Amino acid sequence: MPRFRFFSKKRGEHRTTSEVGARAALGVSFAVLVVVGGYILAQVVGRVTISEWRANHEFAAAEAVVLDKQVIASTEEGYTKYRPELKFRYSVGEKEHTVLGYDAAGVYTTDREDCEELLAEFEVGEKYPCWYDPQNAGRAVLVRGYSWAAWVVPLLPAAFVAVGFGGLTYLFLTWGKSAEHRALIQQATNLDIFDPHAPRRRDPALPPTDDGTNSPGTTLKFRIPPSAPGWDLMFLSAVCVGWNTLVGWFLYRVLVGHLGSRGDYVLTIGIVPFVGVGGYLLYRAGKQLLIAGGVSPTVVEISSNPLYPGGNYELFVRQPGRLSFSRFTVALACDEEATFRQGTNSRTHCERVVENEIFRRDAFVTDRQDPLSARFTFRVPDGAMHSFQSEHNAVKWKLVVRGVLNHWPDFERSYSLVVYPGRNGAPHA
Amino acid sequence: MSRATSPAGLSIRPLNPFSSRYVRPGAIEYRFDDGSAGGSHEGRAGDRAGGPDAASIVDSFYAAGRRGAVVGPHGSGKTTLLESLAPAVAARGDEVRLLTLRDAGAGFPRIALLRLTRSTVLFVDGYEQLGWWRRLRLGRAVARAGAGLLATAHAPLSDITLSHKSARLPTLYTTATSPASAARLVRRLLDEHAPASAFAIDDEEIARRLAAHGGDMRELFFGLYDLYESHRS
Amino acid sequence: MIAPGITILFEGGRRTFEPGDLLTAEYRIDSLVPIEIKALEASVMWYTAGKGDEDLAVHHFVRHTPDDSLLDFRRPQSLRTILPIGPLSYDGAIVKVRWCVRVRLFPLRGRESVSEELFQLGRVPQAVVRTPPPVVLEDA
Repeated sequence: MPRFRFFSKKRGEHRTTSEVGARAALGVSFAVLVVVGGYILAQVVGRVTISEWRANHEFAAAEAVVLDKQVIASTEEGYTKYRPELKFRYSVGEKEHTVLGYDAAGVYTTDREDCEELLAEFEVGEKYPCWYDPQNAGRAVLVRGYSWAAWVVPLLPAAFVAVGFGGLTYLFLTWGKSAEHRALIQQATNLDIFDPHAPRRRDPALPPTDDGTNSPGTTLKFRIPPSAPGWDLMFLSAVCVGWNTLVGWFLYRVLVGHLGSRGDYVLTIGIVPFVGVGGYLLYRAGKQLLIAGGVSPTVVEISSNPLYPGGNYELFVRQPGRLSFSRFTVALACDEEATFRQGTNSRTHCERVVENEIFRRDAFVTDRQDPLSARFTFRVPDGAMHSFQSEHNAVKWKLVVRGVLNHWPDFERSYSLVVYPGRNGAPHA
Repeated sequence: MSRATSPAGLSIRPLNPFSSRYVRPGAIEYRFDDGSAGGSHEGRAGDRAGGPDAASIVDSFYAAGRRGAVVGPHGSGKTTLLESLAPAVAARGDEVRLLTLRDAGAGFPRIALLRLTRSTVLFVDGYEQLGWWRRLRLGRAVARAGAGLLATAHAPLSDITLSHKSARLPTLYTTATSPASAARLVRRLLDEHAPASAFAIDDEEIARRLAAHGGDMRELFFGLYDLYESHRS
Repeated sequence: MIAPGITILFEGGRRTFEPGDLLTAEYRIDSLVPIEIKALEASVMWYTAGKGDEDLAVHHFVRHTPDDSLLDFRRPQSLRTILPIGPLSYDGAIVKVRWCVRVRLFPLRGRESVSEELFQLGRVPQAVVRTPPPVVLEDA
C-alpha cells in the first residue's frame, strides 16, 4: 500500500489510515495560516504600507505651525516602545485643522533617543511644510518618505499566507489522487522556472554538476572539492573538548579529595570508564587533527564534468607538504546508499560496488619544493550505472585518495564525481 | 489487488525477497507464535486455543478504555503489529492516526493532535522516545478529546512511578521473537517472493543469525538480504 | 465479485529500450461482467527497490474518466511516450531501479486494481556484490 507522508519531519512521522481525515486536518491547518496570515497582512499593509504610499503620492501640500512636540511611550508585555508626535495646525481652504501626528506609518521603536533626535528637527512655533489627505483633510503628516517597516514587516505574514495558500493548492491538486498522480504533481512543482531545460529538471534523479563546474582548475578544467570533511572534524573536536572538560573537572575533584585524605573511592572507581572514553575521543580527534593539520589538502582536478560511461578522462593530483609515503593511491569508486525507516529507526546502509585503483605510487618522499604531482588518464567502466539520487536511494561515484604514511596516521579523502547516462564517453544521442 | 510481471527472456531479476518493500511494517502481516495472522479482526478472544490474537488485543484495548501499549525489544515486530491492528480498530468505526517517533527526546508534530475527537485513536510508535513532560501533554490532549491511545515501547508503561496516570498505559501484548517464528517468516517470504529461487537456508542458520542479532528481526532481514544477493551474484 | 483484470502489452513484445526510444503499449480491462469505472490511470514510471525505502517518479501519465466520451473502456487503450535519458534500469546490490508501465483501475464500487509490466531501459549490467559486507553509515 503506498504511503502518504504528509508531515515529513525527522522527529516524528504522522499518517493516518483515514486519508480523508488526515487531509482534512492538514487542510484546516493550511487554511488557518491563510486566514490568520491574511488578516495580519491586511492590517499591516493597510495601516502602514498603503498609508505611506498615499502620503508620498496623493497628499496635498500645505503649511503648518508646530504647536507642541513629545515622545509617546507605550508599554506592552513588560517592554516600552516609543514614537515621535507633533501637534501642528494648518489650513485647508477656510477651515483650520489641529492634528497630532508625525509621519504616515506611525511605527514605534524601542529607542527613545532616536525619537528625540527626530523631534529636535522641529521647533515649537515655527512653520514647516505639511501634507494632508485630500480625502480626509483632518489627516496630515509633517514627514514623508518610506520606512523599512512599511515594506519589510508585511513579508512575515505574507510568508504565512504563501505557505498556507501553497499548501491548500497542493492539497487540492493531490486530493484523492493515486501515488503515481501525486508523484507527478510533486515533480511538476519542482520545475525550475528559470531553467526548465536543465538536465536535472528533465531527469530529477540525476544529481546536478554545479559543484564541479563552478570550481575552475589551474591545470585541468575543473577542480573537485573534497567531500565535506570539515564538519566531521569540528563535531568530533567539540565533543572531545566538552567531554574531557567535564571529566577533567571530576578528576580534579577526585585528586583534591585524595590529596586531602578525603578520597571518594566510589567516585574514583566510577570515573575510570569516563576517563577511558575521554582518552579514546582524544585519540580520534587528535588523529583527525594531525591528518588535517599535518597533511595538506590534496588537489584533484579533472578534464571534464559530468563523466560518461566508457569515457576516458584526464586527472591531475597534487599532494603538497613534507611527507614520507609508504603508498599513495587514487581509486575510482561507486557506492550505493539506501536509507530505510523501520519502526523507530532511520538508517543508511552503504555498499561499494566498484573500486578500481587508477593510480599508485610506492615509497616516496615529498617536500615543499617537490610535491607529488601526477597527471594521468582513467576510464569510467563501459555500461556503468550513472549517478543517481532519490529521496532514500543513491548511486554515488567518487575518487578516493588514500595515503599510507611513514610515522604519521594514514588518510583517506573522497572527491565526488557525477556520471551521467551515456555510452562511449558521450551522452545518449 | 496488485501484480507485476516480468516475462522470461527479459533480464530483470525478481526482487530480493528481503527487500524493504516486502519486509517493512505494513507489507508484512504480524504473525503470532501459533502462526495466526495479526491482521484479522474477525473472531473474538477465546475463539483460538492458546495465546492472544489481533482480535483479543483489540478487545483488551477497548476494555481498558481505549488505552494500551504493545511492548517488546528492538526488531520484535511492534510496529508491524501496530500496523496489523489498525484495520481492526478502524473496523470498529474509529479513525486511526499513526505517529512514528524516531529520535530520543523527540517532540511530536502538532498536527497529529489536531482535531482529535472521540472517534480518533492515536497510534504512537516509539512512545518511550517522548520525555515525561511530552508524554504528560500527549496523554492530557488525548484524554481531553476523549480519543484513544495505543503505543509501542521497549518497556511496560504501566509503571506506577510515571508522573501521571494519563502517561501510563496498560500492556496489551508483549512482542518477542523466537527462532520458530523467525523461520516461519523467512520461509513465507521465500515462498511468496522467490518461489523458484535455489537459495536455501536451514532453520538452524536462521536461529543462529537471529541470536547473533540479539533477537532483532530487522537485523536478521538485513543480513539475509545480503546473503541472498551474494548467493545469486 | 471477481475483481477485473488488467492486461498490459508492449508493441511487438518489445521489452528493452534505449533512452530516447519510443515506447508503445496497450492496456485493457478484462472483465466477465460490465463494470462502472470511476477512473483509469496509466503511468510509465520508475521506482526503487532493495534495502532502502521505495522512491518513485512518473515519466508519463494519463488518466481516463467516464467524462472522456470518446473512450470505450472495453477496447484496449494505447500509450506512447519517448523515454528519457535516465535513470536507467539498474540491478544493484542494495539499490535497484525498475521501470514499468503501471495501470490502476478505480471502479465505482469495490477496491482499486493495479497491474504493472516491467521493461528495461538501458543496458547497465548487474552490479557485483563485493566483500566486505555493507557498513552502516549512521543512525539518523
